[in-house]
Amino acid sequence: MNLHLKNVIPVPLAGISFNPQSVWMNDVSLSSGNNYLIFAPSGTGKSTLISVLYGTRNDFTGDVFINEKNTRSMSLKYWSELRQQSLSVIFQDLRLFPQLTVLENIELKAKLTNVVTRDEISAMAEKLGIAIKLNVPCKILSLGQQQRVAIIRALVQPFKFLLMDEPFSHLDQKNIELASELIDEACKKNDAGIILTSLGEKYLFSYQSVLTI
Amino acid sequence: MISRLLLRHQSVLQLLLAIAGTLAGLFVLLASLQSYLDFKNLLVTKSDLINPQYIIVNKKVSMLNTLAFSKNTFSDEEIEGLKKVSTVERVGKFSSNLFAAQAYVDQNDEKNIPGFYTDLFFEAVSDDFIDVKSDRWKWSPGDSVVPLIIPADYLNLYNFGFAPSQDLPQISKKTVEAVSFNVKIRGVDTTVIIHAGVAGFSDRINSFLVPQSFLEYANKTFAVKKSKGPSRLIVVSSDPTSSELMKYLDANGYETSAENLKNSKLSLVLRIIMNVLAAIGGMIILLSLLGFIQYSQLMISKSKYEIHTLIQLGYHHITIFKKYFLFYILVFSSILIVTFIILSVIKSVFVTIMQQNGFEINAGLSGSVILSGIGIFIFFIVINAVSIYRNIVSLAKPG
Repeated sequence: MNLHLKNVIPVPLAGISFNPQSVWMNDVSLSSGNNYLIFAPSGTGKSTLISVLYGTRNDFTGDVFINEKNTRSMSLKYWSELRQQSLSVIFQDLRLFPQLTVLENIELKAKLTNVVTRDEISAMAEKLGIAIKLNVPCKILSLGQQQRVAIIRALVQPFKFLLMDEPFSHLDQKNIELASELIDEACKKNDAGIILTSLGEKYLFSYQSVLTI
Repeated sequence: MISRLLLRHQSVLQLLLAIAGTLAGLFVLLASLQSYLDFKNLLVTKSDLINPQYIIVNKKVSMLNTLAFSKNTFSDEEIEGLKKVSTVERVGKFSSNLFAAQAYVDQNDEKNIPGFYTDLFFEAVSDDFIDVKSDRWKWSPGDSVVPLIIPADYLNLYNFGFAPSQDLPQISKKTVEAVSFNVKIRGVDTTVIIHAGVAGFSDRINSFLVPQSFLEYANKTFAVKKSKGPSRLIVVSSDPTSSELMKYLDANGYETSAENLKNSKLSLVLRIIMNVLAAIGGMIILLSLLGFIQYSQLMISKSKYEIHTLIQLGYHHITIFKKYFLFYILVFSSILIVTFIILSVIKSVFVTIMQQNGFEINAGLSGSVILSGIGIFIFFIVINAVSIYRNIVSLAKPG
C-alpha cells in the first residue's frame, strides 16, 4: 500500500513557510511495511496530517493519493472499505463510546471484519492490564485505561498502515513498552507499517524514516 | 449495539407529539374517505350494490325535433364524445326496426287470453347491457319463436293500475312468459307472420327488446326505410352521479330518466363536505410530516458523535441509514395499524347504528381506504428516508 502527498497544505496553515523537508508543500511517498515517525511542534498540523490521510478532513490544497487514487474522488463506500481492510487509526481524542463497555467498544470494530476472536481480544486486554475492565462502561475508566482500549480497538482489524496520533500520551513507561510490543506484533502479522506523529518522543519503535513538519 | 448507539437520543415528548399529529391527520383523512364511500353507496344504489350503473340517454324532445330541424338521433361523433367522459365505461346503441310490425292474438289459437291487436316497435341492444338472464333469450335464422323482453313496469301498470280498476284478474310473470302471440311483419312487398313470446322483464330498459341477431336479420330482409342511427343510448358509468357526466349531458341537451341522477345534487354537496374534511386531514398530515422530518434531523444531530465515530471506524453510511430507516418504518407502520384499528371499530359501531335505522352498509374498510393509508405510509417513509439519508451523508463526508 502506498500513501502519496503531493503539495499538500492544510487551509488553516496556508501562508506559513515550512522547511524543505516538511511533509507540507512537498512530494512525500509512504509505503506499507515501513515505519514512519513524524516530528511536529504543537500547532503545525500534526493531527491534521492524520485526518487528511484517514480521509476525515478535506480542507487542504494539493492532492493525496492512496494506491495512486486521488482521495478527493473516493466514495464513502470506498473509504469505509479502506478503513475496514487497510487503514487503522488511534485517534488522539480516542473516540470511544463512553456508555458502551470496553468489550463492546472493541467488538464494534472487530465485528466489521471478524479476523480477531474474542479470546485474542481478551489476551490483548490481559497484556495491557485491562482484562478485568472488559465489562465495565468506558466512561468510568481512567484516561490511561481508555487509551489502552483505543489501542486494542485499532488492532482488531486487518491493516497495512496504522496511523497513530500521540498514542501513548496518558501511559506510563511500563505500559508504553507493553503497548509497543502489542502494536509491533500486530504489524508483523499484517505486514503493515506505522505512521506515528509525536511532539518529540521517539518511543520504542524502529523507524525506516523520520519526517518533520 | 449500533441501534442502541444511534437511537439513544430520543425526545419522547416530541416523538409522541409527532405520532399523535400523524395519527389524527391520517384518521381524519381516511375517515372522511370511508364515510364518503359509504354515503355514496347509500345514495346511489338502492337494491343492487353492483357497480357500474346503467343509464339510458336520449336527446331532449323539443319543438325543433318535432319539426325535424334538428336530429333526435346520435351521430358517431356524439357517441365518441360521450365515451370520452371519464366516468363512462361503455356506450351501447339501441337499433330499432325499419319495418312495420303488428302484434295480435288470434282467438282461434289462444283461448286463455283476450284477443288484441296493436302496432309494435322493436329495439335491440347488445346482450351485455341487458339485465335479464334467460335460456330463451336467443334467436338464429330458422327459429320459429322470437323471444321478447318487455319493461317490468308494463306488467306492474297492468297488475296494479289497469286490472283492479277494470275488475280483471292479475297476471303473473310466469303466465305472461307462457303465452305466445303473433307478430305480423310488413316489408316492401312481403308480409310475414312470426311467433313471439316474452322471455323476461327488464327493470333497466324501458323498451320492447328482441335479440340483436333477429333485428339485424329482419331489418335486412324487410327494411322499408333507412336507418337514421340510434335515438337512445345505454351508458355504463362507474359513477353516474359524477358532476362531469351531469354537466356533459346538460351541455349537449341530453336527457336521462335514471333515478340515480336525482341524488347527484345531494351527492355533490356530500362530496364537497368530504373534500373539505379530506383537505383538513391532508394538512394535518403534511404538518406532522414536517414534525417528523424535524424530529429525525434532531435525533441525527444529537447522534452526531456516534455517526461520525462509526463512519471513522469503517462503518458504511448505508448501514447507519438502515437503522434509522427501520426505526421509522416501525413507527409509521404502528401508526397506520392503529389508525386502521380505530377506523374499523368506529365503522362497526356506525354499521350497527345504521342497520337499526334500516340502512344497509358494507361492513369493514373499503379497499380504497386501505390503499390510501398505505399510499400515505409510503409517502411518509420516502420523504423521511430522503431527509435522513441526506443528513447522514453530510455527516459522513470529510469536512
